[in-house]
This record gives sequence, structure tokens and C-alpha cells, in this order.
Amino acid sequence: MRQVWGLDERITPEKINEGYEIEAQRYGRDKQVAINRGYIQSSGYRRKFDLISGSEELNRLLYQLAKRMLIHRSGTKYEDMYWVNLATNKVVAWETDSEKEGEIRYSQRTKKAIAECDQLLTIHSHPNSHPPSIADFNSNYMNAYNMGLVICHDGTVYMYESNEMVNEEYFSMVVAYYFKMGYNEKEAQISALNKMQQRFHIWFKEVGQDECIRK
Amino acid sequence: MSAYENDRFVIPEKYLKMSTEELEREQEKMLEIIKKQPKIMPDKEKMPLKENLFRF
Repeated sequence: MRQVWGLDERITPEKINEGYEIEAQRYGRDKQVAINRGYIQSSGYRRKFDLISGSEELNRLLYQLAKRMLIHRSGTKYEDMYWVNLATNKVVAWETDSEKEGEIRYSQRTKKAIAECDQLLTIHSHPNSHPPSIADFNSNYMNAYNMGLVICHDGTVYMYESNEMVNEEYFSMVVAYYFKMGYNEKEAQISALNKMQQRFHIWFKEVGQDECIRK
Repeated sequence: MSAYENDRFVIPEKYLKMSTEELEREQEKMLEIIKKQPKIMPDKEKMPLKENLFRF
């Protein structure tokens, strides 16, 4: 039976354990993308969300959504996504039924919510724990989202925003350069994103780790 | 073509075959071209937020 919790339900440690086991049984557990349960339940992980915004209410909501997504998708390569209206701190859309790895398709309901809402934050999961993709940045820009969060299965949280399209081919070339210099895949992507920050109007940072230099 | 396959970023083979010097040159050439192209406009205008909401 699929475990579905209402958006108003608090995600407690008991629910984390319960949901984890159900999802693992549904999809077959891929250890490489299993969440770090101990860390996700820790106060250290919770405190990370206090670094995101000046609104306690918003930070609390984002923490609950992050846990919800991580429990739901632990051990799988499927992503979940929520849209939050920043004027009300309420969830206005969600996509949690994706059955294609690494892809989220917008339903008509989601497209309508995006069109009707002026100030949106998106929060979505990355099972592979990589930083925001260039597609994430470009979607942030084209949809005029005010902020994006990436919730990684390993506990990393990234925040990002874009005011300019970035050519994906160009980004690939920059990643390749750093990879050839000896960086691993994730490091090469992060280094390439840092370079994109210098050349385009995009910003990102790992929450709790570094400061973003905003032009 | 997207460099992302499923949930992984895949570095295109053609770039892996190039040296770092070639990649540096090609990057600069492509950046020059990109900067001259007309700016792609978003589907809607971004509305400003209350100042300092995000600790960026």
C-alpha cells in the first residue's frame, strides 16, 4: 500500500522509518541513492534549514517538505517537487508521481498554479546528490521562480536562482574541462557552476557551507 | 541534445576527447558567440521579494 501523508501532517521519526521501509519494498532499494536516515533526523540537518531564509515559518515548511521527499524517494532515482507561494508560505503545487528517472513533468494543475502565482519557490530532490543542473537554473529563469532548492539524498541542500539562460552545450564543455583537469563528476559540475556565476547572472550555494558572491 | 541522462550528468564524448587547451579555446569561442546572441526572455516577469528574505 502506498503511504501518502497529508500536506499538513508532520513528518516524525516514526513516519520516516515507516515510509522508508514501504518505499524500499515498492521499488527495490538502490543503496547508492538511499538517504542517510540518521543525518536527516538529526538536529544538524534541521538547523540547516534555518540558514535558508529569514522566515521561521517558511524554513519549517521547507524542512518538512524535504523530509517528505527524501522518505518518499529513498533508494530510488525518482524525483519529487513542490512549489511554495512565498506570499502565503503555502504549497500550491506538487509532482510526486514521476516514474521516469531524473525527470519531473508538469501536470496541467501545476502549470496553472505557476501561471497564477507571482512569487514562487521550488524545492525538488536529487537522488544522485549532484548540485542544481543547468536545466534547473534555466527553468528557474524561464518560470520566474524567486528561489530554487535542491534536496540531495546525502543530506546536502543547495539553493539557487537565475536571471539569465545558460547555454547547456557551453556548460557541458566547462564541466568536461574540469573533469579533464582531474576533478570527479560532482566536483567538475560545482566548479563549472562557479564559473557560470562569474559569467552569467546565476547564483547558487550549498546551504551551511559557503557564501554566495552575489553581483 | 541534453547532457543529462536519467538523473546523471553525462559529459559528451566529443569533449572528453579534447585536450584541456582545446577545451579552453573552444569555451572562449563559444562564449563570444553566446554573448552576441539576443537575450532569451522568460515566460513571465519575476516579482521582487521582501528584502533579505533569503540568506544568499
